[in-house]
Amino acid sequence: MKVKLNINGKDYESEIEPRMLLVDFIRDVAGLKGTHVGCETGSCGACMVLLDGMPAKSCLMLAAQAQGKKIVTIEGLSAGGKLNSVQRSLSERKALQCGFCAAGFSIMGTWILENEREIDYEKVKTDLAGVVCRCSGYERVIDSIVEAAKNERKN
Amino acid sequence: MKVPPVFEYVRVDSLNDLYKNVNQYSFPLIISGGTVAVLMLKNRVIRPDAVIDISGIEDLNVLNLDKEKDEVFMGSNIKLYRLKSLLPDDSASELVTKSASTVGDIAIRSVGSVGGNVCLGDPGNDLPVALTAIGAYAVIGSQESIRRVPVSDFYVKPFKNVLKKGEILLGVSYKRLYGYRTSYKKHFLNFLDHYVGIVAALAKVEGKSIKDLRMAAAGEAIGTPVKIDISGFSSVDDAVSIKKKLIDCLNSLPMHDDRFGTIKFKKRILSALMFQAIDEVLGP
Repeated sequence: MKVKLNINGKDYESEIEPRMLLVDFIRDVAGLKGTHVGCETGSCGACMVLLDGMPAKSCLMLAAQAQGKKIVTIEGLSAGGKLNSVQRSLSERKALQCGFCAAGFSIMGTWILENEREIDYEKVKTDLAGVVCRCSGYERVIDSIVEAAKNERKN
Repeated sequence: MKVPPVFEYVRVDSLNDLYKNVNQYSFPLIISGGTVAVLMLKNRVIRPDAVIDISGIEDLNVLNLDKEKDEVFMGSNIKLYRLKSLLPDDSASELVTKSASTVGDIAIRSVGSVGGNVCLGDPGNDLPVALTAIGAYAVIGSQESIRRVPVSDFYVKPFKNVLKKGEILLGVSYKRLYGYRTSYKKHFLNFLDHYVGIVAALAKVEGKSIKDLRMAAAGEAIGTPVKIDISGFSSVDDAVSIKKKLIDCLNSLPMHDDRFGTIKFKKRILSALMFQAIDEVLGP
């Protein structure tokens, strides 16, 4: 079947099998390798993208389901190669080690900043429930997002 | 890398198209969000000949308030994440919201739908327990007719519901309830990634007098959601007797020793959840 997906503002059209997963389309058709394939069960969040502004796990969706929706991957967060406030904060605090979970935390952090009214440690911790990191221990990740939120409010 | 089996993908935008397509295939799989369905496809637990995507049917993406009957109708396509902002202010809706907000994480709730959570029949699903407690109905449609089935009777066994070929779940309706206290409890078994017990309760209490008391339970311990009969108590001072009756109810439920635990373990978990729920809805 032929599908056209809008990823990071750009249309990608391709002939695919209906069983192709969204994460595979993003990585193999669009060539955007920042979205990772992790647990493949929807638990780890390494494949997280924004779908019409809401976080979604692209390993639990067929590519065909995403037709007509606006998809944003981790690459789409840094317009013109400039990191957004969450990515900058994660980088400055050295919150990520191996970086496999970077897509999950960056996408969720960005969503939190744009959608949550009151952002504190507990709120961020709860919202990040769907992202797993096996090396950082979460503390610096949570602090980074809280700090990014504070900086955004100041500006 | 897990790859689903081969199937046809059909996207429908109207109920008429849906009914036509449902009857055309021998084993169609209907998805709205598809979070669990895609996982089952990847694990090859199911092998449909067609996946029918109903997310584009706007008629199923509605929340209606029937003011005359004082009823709420939630369409199958409504995303679980939206329930909190969509549902009206009443006790039944509060319990539904509480249960929906514990499904997975935000990324799952933003894609997962009411229809999927109700239809699947996984003992660990959240909405069915709350819907059973409030006495909700599954609204089932086919090309010929629409019928209503109490959610408590919607499941034949785990992962098997009463939907016949050609039928689909249009949504869920329930009567609004006012002035109740609600409680929603569940116990997660981390290493097996499953919920052993889930309990939903609500009570209307005036002074010390119990006007109405309802409870439902599910989880891997007992399978499909069941109504727990704790009627006949009139005072909050009867809490000890209510708990004794809950133990009797638990003893009458069919349970087995399996990978989720022994019968003794399951009863301990469920009784603890039930007691907590009762204390919450009857407490000061």
